[in-house]
Amino acid sequence: MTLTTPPLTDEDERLARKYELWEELPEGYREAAARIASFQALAELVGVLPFAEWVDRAPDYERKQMLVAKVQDEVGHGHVTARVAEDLGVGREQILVDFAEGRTKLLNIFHYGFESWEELGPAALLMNSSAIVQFQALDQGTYLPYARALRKIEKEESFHYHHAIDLTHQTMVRGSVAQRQRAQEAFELWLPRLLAYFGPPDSDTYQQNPMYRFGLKVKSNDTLRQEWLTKIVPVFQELGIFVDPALARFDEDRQAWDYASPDWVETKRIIKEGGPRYGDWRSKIQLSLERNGAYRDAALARAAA
Amino acid sequence: MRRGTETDVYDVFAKFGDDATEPIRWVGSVRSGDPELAWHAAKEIYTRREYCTVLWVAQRSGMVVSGPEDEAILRTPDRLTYRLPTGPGRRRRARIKAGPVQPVPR
Ligand SMILES: [Fe+2]
Repeated sequence: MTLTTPPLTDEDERLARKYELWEELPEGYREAAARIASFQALAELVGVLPFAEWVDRAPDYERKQMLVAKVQDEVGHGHVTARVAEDLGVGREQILVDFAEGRTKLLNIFHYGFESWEELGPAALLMNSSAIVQFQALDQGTYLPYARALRKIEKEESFHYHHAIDLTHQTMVRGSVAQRQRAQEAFELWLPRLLAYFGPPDSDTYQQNPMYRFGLKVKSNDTLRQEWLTKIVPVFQELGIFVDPALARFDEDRQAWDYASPDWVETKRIIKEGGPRYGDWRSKIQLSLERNGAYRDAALARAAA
Repeated sequence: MRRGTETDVYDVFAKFGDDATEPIRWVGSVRSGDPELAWHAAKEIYTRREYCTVLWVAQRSGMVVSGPEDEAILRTPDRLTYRLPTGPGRRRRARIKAGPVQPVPR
């Protein structure tokens, strides 16, 4: 998909003019809005798979209930953002088929699974907090149906965030040394992944990016990354996780975070060639498309009749 | 205005909370091949947290919706100024300017 570059406008104007589906949209805007909504729909639906496979391994009934609720919420987010994309002309089947057939790239964090229950809490906490920081910026964006979808999603993400804190806390209070060690390792494994998830460092020309100029991307990668670190590092410290200053450290002079630069080469490779679980997620989506195909066709034929 | 076209999209309307005076409002849409299943999808997707008291779904092909071309006739302030709250205010100022009332001579 090629994006037409909108004309340059000043910063306030960039976010002030909002659009509804039925309005006349600037050249290239519809495609850009459809792209961001369908990208998120896929991220919600694939991003939940590593959690879904832990439902029947949850260690107690309450945790299982919370995990089931989270999985259902995320699938709901997939539906809501897919509706935004569908109204712009991109169907959910297309989103899923494009992924199953390898035409869509996934963000780096969605290429992995969890090796242990203790990993799930800290990883979910890092992921949820970064999603919240992203969404709180994106909901100020210019496409109103997407902004509304995000407001609904944020309420549920905040529930997941507290769930992840609670889960990590349980490990850090009641867990054995080995279990607490796994939580610590999970933090160190996932922190760089999430730092990379915010995207490459801002270039001098990030404001020229069509998504940014349309006001569909609201803040720069570095701004979001800094906001996220400010939010999440103290939370982990409070949970008894050691945050190695070599990984992330607040520089009082610059009033900004220094962090270990993620391995960008590896990040790009994962996105291009697929990470450890990429193939599994693709075949899961493929399987569910096939399994549900007959029902879907019958339902849609009936709707059209 | 125009008629909706999609037969597989249902717009979702709901009311939340205990405040009976709260209006029923539009919350989003679902895709479904069947009205009752659309209602269930709406329940699962849009009533996950808050306490929901009313839930409606409406097939888009059965709706009539405004478009940008209707803006002019929908903008009451531009065409029906006498209905605006500023109308009585303007009349009040005119009354003051007009001077004292003149009672009927007895
Ligand atoms: Fe989500």
